[in-house]
Amino acid sequence: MTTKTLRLSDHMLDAVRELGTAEHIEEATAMRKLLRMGYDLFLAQQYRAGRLTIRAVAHRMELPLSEAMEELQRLGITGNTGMDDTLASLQSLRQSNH
Amino acid sequence: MKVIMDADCLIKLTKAGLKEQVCEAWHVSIPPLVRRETVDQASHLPDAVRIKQNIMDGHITVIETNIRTTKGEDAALRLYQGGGFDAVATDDARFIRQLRGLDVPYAVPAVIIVRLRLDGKLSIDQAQQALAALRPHISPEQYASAQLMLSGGLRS
Repeated sequence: MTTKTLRLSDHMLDAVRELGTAEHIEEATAMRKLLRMGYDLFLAQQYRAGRLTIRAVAHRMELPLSEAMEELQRLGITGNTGMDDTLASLQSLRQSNH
Repeated sequence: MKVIMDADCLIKLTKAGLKEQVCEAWHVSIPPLVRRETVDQASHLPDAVRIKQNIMDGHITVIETNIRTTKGEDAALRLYQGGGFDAVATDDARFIRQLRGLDVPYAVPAVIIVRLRLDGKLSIDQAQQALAALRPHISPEQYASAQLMLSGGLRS
């Protein structure tokens, strides 16, 4: 672990304290937890936008692929393909050697 | 249909309980890197145990290659480009962009179900059930598109 100093707004400090009180954890632990949650949400958004593969997300979350998928599901992201990708998939299979 | 499958598609079909149905109808192959990602690196997970069993039973073929890469998608693409396969199966938008750019046929999980229905391998009820099982694991857009395809509302 590395020690970092950062400035927090009163509002964010309240948020840290709120989490600390709710989960009976120290402020430092609450801060780390909020950072983790925020980073996971950022990764989920990047995946949803197609900017990261599930492998890249799993690597950054330090989880196996399967568990990273479950984590994304918990964050409301079940996949990142669009309607156009789905239609093009069916078309491409029709044009394949099958 | 002979397909190379990447890890996310394999895991999603496994979680939905559809892997066996798909592997019976299609010839599914994976590069060693996908086996590593889905089995070796997560051997404690139920999905990994089921995939490992399918590999041991010969329902999924692991194609040993000399391809040097750390990405399952790259390994899958290069296997496809080696010839002998009809499509790549994946559910990753970033990889799909690459496949579309290269004009490589690809199958997303819900379209595999639609294709099995169109080929008469699944009844409409079976296809609907399969799609319902997949729903928690695919994007809402993919699910809605496949529903329309099954109902004949989308003729592409």
